[in-house]
Amino acid sequence: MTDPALMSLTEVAAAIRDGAVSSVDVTKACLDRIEAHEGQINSIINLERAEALESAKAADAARERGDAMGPLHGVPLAHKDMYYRRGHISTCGSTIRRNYVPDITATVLEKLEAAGALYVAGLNMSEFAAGPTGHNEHFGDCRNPWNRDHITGGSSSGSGAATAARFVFGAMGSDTGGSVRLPAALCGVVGLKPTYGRISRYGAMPRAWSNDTMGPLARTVRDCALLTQVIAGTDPNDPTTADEPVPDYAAAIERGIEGLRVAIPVNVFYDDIDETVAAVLRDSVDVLRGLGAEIVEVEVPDLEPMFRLGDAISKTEAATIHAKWMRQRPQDYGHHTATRIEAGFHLPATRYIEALSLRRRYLADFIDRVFTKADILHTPTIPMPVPRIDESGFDGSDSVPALVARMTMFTRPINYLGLPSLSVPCGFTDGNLPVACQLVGRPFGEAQLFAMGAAYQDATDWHLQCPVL
Amino acid sequence: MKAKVTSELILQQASALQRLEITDERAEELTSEVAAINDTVLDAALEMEFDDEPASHARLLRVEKPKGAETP
Repeated sequence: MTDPALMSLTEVAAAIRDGAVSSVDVTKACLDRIEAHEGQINSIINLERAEALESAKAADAARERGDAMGPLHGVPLAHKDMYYRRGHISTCGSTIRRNYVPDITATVLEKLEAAGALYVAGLNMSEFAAGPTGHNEHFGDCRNPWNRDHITGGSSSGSGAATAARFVFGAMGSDTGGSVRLPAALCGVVGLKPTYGRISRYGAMPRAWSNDTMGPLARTVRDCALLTQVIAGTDPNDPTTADEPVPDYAAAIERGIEGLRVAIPVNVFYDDIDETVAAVLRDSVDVLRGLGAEIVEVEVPDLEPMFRLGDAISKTEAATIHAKWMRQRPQDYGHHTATRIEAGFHLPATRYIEALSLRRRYLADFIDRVFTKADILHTPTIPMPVPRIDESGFDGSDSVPALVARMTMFTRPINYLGLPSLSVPCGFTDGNLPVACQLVGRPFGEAQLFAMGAAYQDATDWHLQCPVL
Repeated sequence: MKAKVTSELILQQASALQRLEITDERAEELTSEVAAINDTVLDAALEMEFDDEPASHARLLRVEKPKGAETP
């Protein structure tokens, strides 16, 4: 029999529901992989082995009784260690919260549990979600399952690595400037940054309120769509969620992509990109063209102002969130983290409000330039091959901040705009490290992103390739 | 004429306005980052109109959602 840990989330959920495999067997298979390989990857902060097995037994017993089963019944998941669970430690990847026990549970976790999912672990992450590489001075750097000398991307580093390593079938991350899409891209899995307001932020650690989005990482687009179906929707505990109906994402995928128009940028995104990455991206466009998508070329607005405006908001809000601790216990912050927040203390309040007030204008211009001509924008997720751990950590080198900024140049502006964006694996570089494309949609256009991504995966097998551990 | 963001300004802001202690070296590093963000936003704000406000972004997100196939 195939190792159940190697199945996709949608496959394993169906197999558990049909009785082809038990939740206990699936959970044991995941825990066995964790035990065998976690030492090389460092993707987990808190492993809840006993709780996961008890929950799996309860799931199997419920099935035996004929109880109603949710769409994730008995499926093991793990999440970035910043989703609060009442009575359980949530470290936020930090020393400051190493023993923090929240008294609330995140809405996203409540919805996943209600759908039947199991909680296996709290996953490694950049300290306070402040860093796009996956380095962590407190819990150790997370390592890429495809090559342990390379970064996972961050800040949802453990979510990308654990999903790629087949430790769990999916994981929640959070994305304020690329923190779901980057680890998804660098680890060869799918990651969704939803429209701002699509998924509740309640009970998730804040990085920067106005740019924060909560998104799933999974092995396939269909897996990602299923997780999104469960967690999306309005939440009275998060007034920034939109009172918009949640489409049937599986039905949207089945409708296919006939007639959808895909925009390819002729400027900006390809001005400073590694040629091996560009070649993989061109191949992915050819696949979409072959599937019947209409390809149109567009000139997109300059990303630099949106990058800076988003940065102004994130840094100012993060400085506000961390001000008390940065005054009282600055020594407990990692150097990476502090330097990514500090500028927020020195920007006038008027700059912050201007950046927020200009958002509508930039979104209107982006929609006019892109979405009047196409339904989806296709871009690289990052412009370069996956960097090594030793070239992207804080070593005093002047080149590191520039590398880190370049990594987020294509993702951070999308957070400023508030648009949905899906990172989909689309090939490998010569060193057998993943490359991904970023599909950007209209506001609340997640269904179209899933339809396009799933059609692409039906025609390719990049997502089926598994790192050798 | 525009004055530069200096390390002295950063140090004084940190001490007088934020009650933060930072080193001279770090203050010097922050000058270019703060100036770059501040200038970009200032330049962009030349396009602002009197009635622009932060909440208009969320409104536009809802107005511009896809039509038709998206409706469940």
